[in-house]
Amino acid sequence: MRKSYIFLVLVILAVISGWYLGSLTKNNQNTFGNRGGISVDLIVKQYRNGTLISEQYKRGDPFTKNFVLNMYGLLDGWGSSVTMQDETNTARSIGYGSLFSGTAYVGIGTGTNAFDINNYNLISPIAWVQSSATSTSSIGTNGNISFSASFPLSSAATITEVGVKVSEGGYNFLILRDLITPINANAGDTITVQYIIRLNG
Amino acid sequence: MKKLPVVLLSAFLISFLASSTLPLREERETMDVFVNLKVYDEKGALIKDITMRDPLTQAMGGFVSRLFSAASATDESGTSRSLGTGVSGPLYICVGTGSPVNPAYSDYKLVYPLQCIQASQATMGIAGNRGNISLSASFTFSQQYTITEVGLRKYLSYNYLLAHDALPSPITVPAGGKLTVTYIIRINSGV
Repeated sequence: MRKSYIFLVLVILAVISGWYLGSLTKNNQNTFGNRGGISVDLIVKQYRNGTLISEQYKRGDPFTKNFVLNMYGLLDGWGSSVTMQDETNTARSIGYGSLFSGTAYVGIGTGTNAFDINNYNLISPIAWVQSSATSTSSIGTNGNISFSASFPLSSAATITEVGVKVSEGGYNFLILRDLITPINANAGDTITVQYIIRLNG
Repeated sequence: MKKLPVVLLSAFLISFLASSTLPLREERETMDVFVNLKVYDEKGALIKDITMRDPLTQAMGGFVSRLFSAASATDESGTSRSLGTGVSGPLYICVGTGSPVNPAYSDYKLVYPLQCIQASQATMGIAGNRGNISLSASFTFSQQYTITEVGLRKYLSYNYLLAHDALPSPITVPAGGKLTVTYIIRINSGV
């Protein structure tokens, strides 16, 4: 028992001394206080006869590779095009001059496959609706961009996935997709999907 | 207990390496933006190495918004402009000597820009469900400067400041020295 205690203390001392000496080997000063980045919040609501009956909120909705390529186009000052997979999984070369064209669709579906960065469409889409115009707001160092879409359902469905695709160069490219807590919706229910993109947290 | 020296050495080395080689921690967003600054003296020796988050500005918000619908952004002259389709234009990394620098989402220019250099061609990689984009620029100065701010500028007929931050403390680049600024964008890093 005593040997185990000494052993544990020695290991902890080794870890602490290693960490301390490692930090001394670099002349750096890392600071992560100012939040630089984007987070994507997702709010999905279910209405029946005009009454809200369920609501879910998710922080950290992931982007697909097509979004990465859009950002690459924005941040690359030398190239001229990116190759993205459209919603039919066909590779399309899109010139930088056709990116960020300002038309987006929000979709809901019944697929259950986990998110994969290479997703090019919802797994089992049941409806796509053009998103509302974005609304923006800011406070201090933070900025918010919000848009939404509403889905009146004509038949019952269990909604399990949502996503966003954008139109660029005449094709549609999925840029956001995620699973949600399944929603058992009846015919006549309305599902609303809202995205809030937060800059700098 | 015969294995004690090996265990202790392993614990020491793992912790030493983790502490000395992991500059990017605290990834917690859907997309994280880091900026790394390295200062070299006139003999090429590394004398400063800083990594920090770089807050995004209203212009970046305008471009992100433009993915989904019509959007506008304020250019570096302070004029609000509608953003059209397309992002074909050079990207610059800027450093400045402004003081004080109080970064805000509404920033549209550096407080006191010293120099802007066109960034290298961006590199992109996908690993698992994460994406990485990085780009950099190197500044050489014939005289000593004290840098206090850094930013990212996109040119699309007009200049738009996409990111802007104050350094946690001013850094001095000696005469004949070099400053390398690298932007690292990590997508899905915190999800």
